[in-house]
Amino acid sequence: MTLTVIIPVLDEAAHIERCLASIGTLAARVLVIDAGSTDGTQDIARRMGAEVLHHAWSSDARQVNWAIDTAGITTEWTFLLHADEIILPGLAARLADLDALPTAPLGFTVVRRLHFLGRWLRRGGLYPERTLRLWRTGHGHCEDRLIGERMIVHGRVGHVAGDIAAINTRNIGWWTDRYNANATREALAQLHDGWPSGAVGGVPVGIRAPAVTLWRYFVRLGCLDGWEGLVYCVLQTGWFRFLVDVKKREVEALMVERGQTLGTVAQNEYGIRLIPLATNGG
Amino acid sequence: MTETRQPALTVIILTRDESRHIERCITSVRAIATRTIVVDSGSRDATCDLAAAAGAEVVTHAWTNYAQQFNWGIDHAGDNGGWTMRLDADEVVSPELAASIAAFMASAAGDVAGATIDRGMHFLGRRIRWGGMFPTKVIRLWRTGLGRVENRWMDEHVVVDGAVVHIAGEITDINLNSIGWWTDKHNGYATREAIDQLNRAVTSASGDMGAEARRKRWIKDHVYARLPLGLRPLLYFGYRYVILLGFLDGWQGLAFHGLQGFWYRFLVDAKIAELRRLMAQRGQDLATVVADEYGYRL
Repeated sequence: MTLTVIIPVLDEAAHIERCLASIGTLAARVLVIDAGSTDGTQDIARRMGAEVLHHAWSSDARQVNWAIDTAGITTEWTFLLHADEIILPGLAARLADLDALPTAPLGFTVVRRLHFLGRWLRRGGLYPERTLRLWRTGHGHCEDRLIGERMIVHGRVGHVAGDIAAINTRNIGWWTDRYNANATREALAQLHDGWPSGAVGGVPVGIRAPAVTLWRYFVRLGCLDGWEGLVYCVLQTGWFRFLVDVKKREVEALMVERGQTLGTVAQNEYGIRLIPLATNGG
Repeated sequence: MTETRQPALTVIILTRDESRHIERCITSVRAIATRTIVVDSGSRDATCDLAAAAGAEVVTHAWTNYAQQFNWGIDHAGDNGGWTMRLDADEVVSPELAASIAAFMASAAGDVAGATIDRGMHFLGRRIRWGGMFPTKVIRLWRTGLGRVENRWMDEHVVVDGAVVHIAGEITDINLNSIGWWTDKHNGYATREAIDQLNRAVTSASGDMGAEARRKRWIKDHVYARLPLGLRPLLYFGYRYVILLGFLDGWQGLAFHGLQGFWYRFLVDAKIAELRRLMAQRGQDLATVVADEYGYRL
């Protein structure tokens, strides 16, 4: 029992029990970082034996880093899991025997399976996708990005052969809401990174999203994932990226029209505070 | 405009959180409206105060859908012995239209029950001219008592009993909110459109909705409805963007035709498939699944 699992949540009553059940008795501590759920998530988590800590949300990255910095984690290892994910039995077996891992790496990737509309998407370049989720306590932190953040260790990274699965059971209307908000954050993050709209690498913005969609669907064989694969490819790859590009242009137009900085437009139009925001996690 | 008494015209506007637009909207009909009624469904911004200050009569009524809300407004307004007009808060009536409405009301033949009006749209600050979308001809003005909104969840038209003529001028939709707000709204529309397409109980309204609306509805019911889910939005987008020259509308046109022509209709298809899957998985009917997932009561 040398493991702590961190789970950031907001209104995850639909998933949290399943998530915690998949951890079982693997972890000495399970920390559910709640951003103010109103659907009873906290009660379910406590009943399942997790510790519930409250921290106001400003980004997923900051929820994770807040837990890393302030929750007093003393176990040798820390693992990041999201509420709509589960640890599959193969990975659980590896996590039960952490002493068997090679000693040099500071962090380890695992494989993430993505389910969409009830189907595991194996094609389109979506599987196997490695993501760093396990690290030696004290050596891992999350990139301070508005969206699309990844865990970072300053040292060698190994791999644990085992999978987690993201199986969100909510409907596509909810998903659209979530990705609409994500697109705003992604657009602001890209502009803040000094990546304006307009042609990128010679590819006009309007072409980029459809091009990536066709690549994933035909070249990476997303077409073999059935209807669910088509919907994912069109919405997540095509629409989402297209929307990000449109929002970047919209934000740029507002900055010019109002004579305001990026930070002011982000705050006034979208209620998002950009500053201070480092993007490389340094 | 003659020396005789101004014909009665009641303008009905449905609102919720429209403080960015409501003054502009009411001002654009001030010269012709004898009564402006704002039916608000719980604004949390200054919409009601701004509307009242602009001279409108503000009433509150809980929202079910556009059709029921508007028809409630018609019933609330009662008989003014003249005309009724439908206007959205983010729309403006052009001065030319205001003049032609005044002339039309003063001179319309007794058998004329309503008028179609051109409706244009701005998107991301640019007028959309290509892609075959605008201007559309919609019935927005009718003799009080002879027009109602057909009871659908989406794409609801005014239908009138009697002859319809076309009048000059334009209603222009110039929404100033962000694309994120627009996306949110269309996510909601897509749910309602999916419900309408799955709900066989939806019957076509009796009465006239105008020749153009009738033609579009026929194509939607008899051609589009028979094409495969997922493919038909692509065909529709290609038709609008390439054949009807939507690409001439610049980057705003790409955004509009890409999002409103393709993404929105693809999302409708994805929701239709999802609702069908959930109905099959749970052994429930459409009304139960829609109530559980989206909170709508059919």
